[in-house]
Amino acid sequence: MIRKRCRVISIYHIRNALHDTIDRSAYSFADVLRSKLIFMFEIKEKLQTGGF
Amino acid sequence: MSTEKKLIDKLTPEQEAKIPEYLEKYKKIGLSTGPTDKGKAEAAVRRAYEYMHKKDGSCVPNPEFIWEGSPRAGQRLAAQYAKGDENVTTEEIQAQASMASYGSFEAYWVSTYDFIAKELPVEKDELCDIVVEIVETCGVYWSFEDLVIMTPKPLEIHLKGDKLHNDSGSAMSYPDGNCVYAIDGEIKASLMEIAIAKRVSEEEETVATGKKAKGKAKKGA
Repeated sequence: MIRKRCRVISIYHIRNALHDTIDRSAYSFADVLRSKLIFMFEIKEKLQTGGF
Repeated sequence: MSTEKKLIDKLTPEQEAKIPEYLEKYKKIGLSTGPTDKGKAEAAVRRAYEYMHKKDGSCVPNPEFIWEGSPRAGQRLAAQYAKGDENVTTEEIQAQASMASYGSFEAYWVSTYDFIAKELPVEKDELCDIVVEIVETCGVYWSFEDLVIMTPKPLEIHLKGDKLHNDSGSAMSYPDGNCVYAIDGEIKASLMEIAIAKRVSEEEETVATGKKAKGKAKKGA
């Protein structure tokens, strides 16, 4: 029996939760945060591809 | 009268001034280690299930939680549960790494949305707070329709600059003894591989230093 997965949080869900009150093209103004924390994405990516 | 929403398209200086505060907060969350409060972690994920259940019925509102001692142990169980069979291949286990939610390691993108939700005059619902709670409290986890396989945050994280690195031990370790080995951000399978990589790098350095010295000697001749 294949068990169904459930993605409980994602960027897609979050953007919907913000009810489109922010200009989608303007997310970049807060994206400075993400760009400065990009090393965390790199750690996550390495774990995703290199395993635990 | 126009019913068109007025969208935010720039930050005020006051809003911009708040960015370093969020940067600091999320750096701490992403690199947080130590004992995981299982009750708080489960409560955060349960809130997300309740939210999604109400939203689209894609999951039960109150899932079962199973804890493993590390992501390595968690991914095996996730592979078994996904397949509905205890017998899983190495490939099936490894494939779980890309299907996990990374808890505190998701801090890099959650920071942006937390900032938007808290500092800007946007309409929002409870999901923004739920997501913040998840990255604050959870390690890596696998979410199924009715069950969540949870794992704790690491007990320690070693970095060189911004990359996972420890050339004399594990770069991350977990309560069940499982570890992640890495040099300069590259994941290695074992301490033996770390030792080999270190040896190769030292040899390369020796060769490079020797070449430089020879070059200088030639110039001087």
